[in-house]
Amino acid sequence: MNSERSTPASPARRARQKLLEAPLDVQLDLDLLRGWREQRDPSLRSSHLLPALARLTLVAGDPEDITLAPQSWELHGPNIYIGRYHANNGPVDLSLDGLLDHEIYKLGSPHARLMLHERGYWTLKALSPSRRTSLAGEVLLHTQPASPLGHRQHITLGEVTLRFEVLGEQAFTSWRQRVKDVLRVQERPALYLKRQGGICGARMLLTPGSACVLGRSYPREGDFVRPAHWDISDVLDWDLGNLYEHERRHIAFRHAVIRPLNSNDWEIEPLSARHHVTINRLPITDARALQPGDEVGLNSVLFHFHHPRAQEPSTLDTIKLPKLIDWHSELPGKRRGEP
Amino acid sequence: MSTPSLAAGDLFTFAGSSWKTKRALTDDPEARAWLVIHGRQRRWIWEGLPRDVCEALGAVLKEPGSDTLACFAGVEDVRGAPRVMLKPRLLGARPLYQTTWRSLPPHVAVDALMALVLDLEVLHEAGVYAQGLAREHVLWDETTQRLMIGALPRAEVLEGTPEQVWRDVRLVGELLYENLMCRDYPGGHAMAAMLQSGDTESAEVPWQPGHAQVIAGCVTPYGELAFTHASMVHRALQTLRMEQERPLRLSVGAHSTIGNYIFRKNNQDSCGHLLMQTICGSRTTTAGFFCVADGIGGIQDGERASALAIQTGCQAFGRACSHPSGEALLHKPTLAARGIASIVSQRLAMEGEFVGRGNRGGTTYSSLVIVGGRVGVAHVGDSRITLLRRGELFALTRDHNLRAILEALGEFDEGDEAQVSLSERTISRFMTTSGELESGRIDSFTLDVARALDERIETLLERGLKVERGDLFLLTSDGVHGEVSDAEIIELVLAHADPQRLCDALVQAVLDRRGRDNITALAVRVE
Repeated sequence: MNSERSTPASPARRARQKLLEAPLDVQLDLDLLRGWREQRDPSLRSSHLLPALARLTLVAGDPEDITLAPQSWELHGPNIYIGRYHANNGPVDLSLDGLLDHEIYKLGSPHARLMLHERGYWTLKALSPSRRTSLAGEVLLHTQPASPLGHRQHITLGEVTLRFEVLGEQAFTSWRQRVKDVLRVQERPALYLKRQGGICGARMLLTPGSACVLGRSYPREGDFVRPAHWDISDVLDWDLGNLYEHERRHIAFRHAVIRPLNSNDWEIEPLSARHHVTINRLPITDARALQPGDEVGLNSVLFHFHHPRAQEPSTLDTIKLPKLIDWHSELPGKRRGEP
Repeated sequence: MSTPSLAAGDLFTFAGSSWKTKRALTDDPEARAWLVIHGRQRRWIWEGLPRDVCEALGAVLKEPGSDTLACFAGVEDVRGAPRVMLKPRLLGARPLYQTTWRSLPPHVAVDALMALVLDLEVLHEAGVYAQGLAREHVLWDETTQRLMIGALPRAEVLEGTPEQVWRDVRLVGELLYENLMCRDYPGGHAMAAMLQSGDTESAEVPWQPGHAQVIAGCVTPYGELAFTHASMVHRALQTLRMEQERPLRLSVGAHSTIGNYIFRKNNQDSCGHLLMQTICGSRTTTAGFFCVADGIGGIQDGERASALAIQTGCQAFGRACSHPSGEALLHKPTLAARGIASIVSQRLAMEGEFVGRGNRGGTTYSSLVIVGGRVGVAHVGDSRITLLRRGELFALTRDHNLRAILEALGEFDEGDEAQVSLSERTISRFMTTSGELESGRIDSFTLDVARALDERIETLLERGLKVERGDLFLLTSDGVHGEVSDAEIIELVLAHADPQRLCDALVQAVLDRRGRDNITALAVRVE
C-alpha cells in the first residue's frame, strides 16, 4: 500500500472533500465556457435501480489531503470484472476511477473477477498475469482457480487495498427478483444502461421502424462554435452526455446506431472509427444483429439489450469473453514522437 | 442625565441569572454602558435608553446581523426604566485612543469607518439615531481592526431628517481627517471654509482623491454635497477605498521556437494568453488567462493539438469574461482554470472524432487563471508552472510522466540511464484527440504545493492562491526545464525584470546548449 494514504477522514473533512471533489459540471456552468449547451438526461444519474450486493472501500485517505476523496464502490451485479479499461481487452464492469497515477499503472485491464454464486458465497479470481492480486495478504496467481472471498476481507489489486463487504444475506434473491420485475413489465425492445454490474434504471425504448443513434452532445449546426468543415448529422437519439464523467469519456459523440432489421430483429453498427463497440464483450467493426439479452458495450459502458422475447439478461457465464492479453510490456502513456 | 443605576463591581440579576458589572465600556461616565460577566459569559448592558429605542434595538439587532454590532440579548425593567442586555461580537473592543487611530494605515482606517457606517445604516433603518455619535462611544477592536458602536446614551427613535443623519455621520469625517492629517479636526466651520477655499491642495499632507468628498459630505447637513443617508457615506468611503488601492498590474512575455535539432521539422509547442483590464468607477479589475501546451504525436498532429488547446482555452476564458454570470465564475480561479481545461479536453476529443486527417495527436496543457489578485492552476502533462516568490522557486505543478509513477512506486533508479530517459519521455497524462479527459485527472493545487507555500489546501482550491507584488509565474515546456536548472532560471529572472526579455533570455540559454526539443516560455510578472 502506498504511503500517501492512511486513515479515514473526519465527517467534517469528508463534507469538505465532497464539496471540493464534486464533479466539475455540478460546480460550474461549463456550457458558459463551451459556448454551446450540452443536453442532460437526468435519468443517467438517477440512483441505482437494483440493490447493492457488496461494497468495496478503499483502505486509504491521507487525513491531511483533501484532494484525495475517500472512495467506495458498490457492486450491483453478481459477476464483476474489475480493473481499468483497455480497448484491446474489452469492457470492465467496475472501473476503479479516481485513483492516483501509480495506482492506476499497477492495475490490470481487467485485474480480477468477483463473483457471487448461487449458493450465496463470493469468490475472487486473479486475471492479470503481470499485476499483483492478493486476498487477505495471500498472493493469488492468474493461473489459480477462484478463491472464496469473505465479508470484510481485504483485497489488494496492484497498489490499492480494498475492503470487501457483503451487503445482506438476502441481497442476491431480492436483486434477481428486482431484475425480473423490471424487465417483465417492459413490453418494448429497449436498451438498459448497466452500471457496476447491473441494469441501473436509465433506458432507451426502441421504436419499431426507427433507428436509434447513441452518442453525446456536440455543437449543432448553427451553433457559432461549430467549425464549418464538420460534415456530421445532428441526429442523436440517446444523448449519453450526462453519464458520470468516468463513464462518458468512453462514449463517442456519435458512437453507434441501432437499427430495426424487421419487426422483431435489430442490429447495431459502430459509427466512430476511434471508439469501440462490443457485443457480449467481443468487438465488432460493422453492423451485427443483436440477440435478445445481449450485452452491448460502448467502450467500457455496458448496456443490456432487452427484448420481450427474453426477459433475463445474459450473465457473464454465457457471455463469450475475449482472450486476456499479457500486459507485461504495457506502458502507461505515449512516448514523444510516437503517433 | 439621571444617576447611573449600576457601578463597577455591582451584582445584579438579569433574566434569572446573577451578573457582575466588570467595567464601564467607554471612557464617558455618562454613557451608562457596562461590560458585565456571568461565569465565562460576557455581555454588555446599556442603561437609560427610552423604551421605544429598546424596542427598536430588539427588532433590529438580531443575528446574524452585521459583523460588529452587538446582538440584542434581552431587556428588563428596573424600577420602571429599561435595561438592555447585548451580546457583543468582538469581546476585545476597547475605547478608541487618539494615538491608535492616528497611527493606522489609511486603508485600515477607511475599512474600519465603512464598518461603522454600515452599523449606523442598520440603526437608521430601524429609526434609531444616536443624536450625535461621539468618539467616546466608539470602540476599537485591535484584532479585527474594526470600529464599533459601544454606547448610544442619547439615542432616540426619529424620522431621520438630514440633520439627524449628519449628527451621526459627522464623526466619520472627523476621524477620517484626523487619520489623514495626524492632527485634531479643526471644527466644522473651519473645515467648511478650508474646503470652500480649495486650501486642501496646499495642505502639508497631500489629500488623496476621495478624501475631500467624504469630509465635505460630513461637514454640514446643508447643501448639495451633504450626505442625507448613511449609505451615501458608505459609497463615498468605498470610492475612497478604491482610490487608495494600487491595482495589480500583470505584464506578460512569451517566446516559442522550433529549436536546433535538424530532425525536428516543426514547432509542436504553443502558448497564449488573454489579458483583460477594466477601470470602472475607480475600480480596476485585472483578469488573465495564460497557457502553454506541448504537442504529442505525428508531425502535424501534435502541432494541431497544442494549437487547438491554446485557442480553445483563450476562447473559453473570453466567454467567461464576456458573460454576466461568468464574472462570478472567475472569482473562483481554481475552478475556472479546471473548467476551461475540461472544455479544452472536450474540444480535442471532438476534433479527433469529426475531422478526418492530421488529428491523432495529443498535448500537455498547463494554465493559469488570475483574477482579482488570486490565481488558479490547471495542469495535465509535463509542461510546468513555476512561481518565483521572494527569490525562491515553487513548483505549482508536478510532472505527469512515468518517472513520477516509478518514483511513487519506489522503482525509479537514477543510475539507470535508459530508464531515466524513457520514463521522462513517457507521459502518463495528456489531453488527446482520442477522447475526453476526466476532470478529476486535471490537476490543480496539490497538498505538497500548499505545504510549500504555507497555505491551506482548502483555500487554494476554493479561492485560489493570493498573488503578491513581485511574483513571477513561469510557464515552460519541457524543452526549457529539461535543459535549464532552477539556479539558472533564478539567475535569469533576477537579471531580466521585463517578462519578454526574460523569455527571450531563457530560450536563448536553451539554444546555447543543445536545444533539441521545441522551446517555449511564457512569463507573467505581478507588479
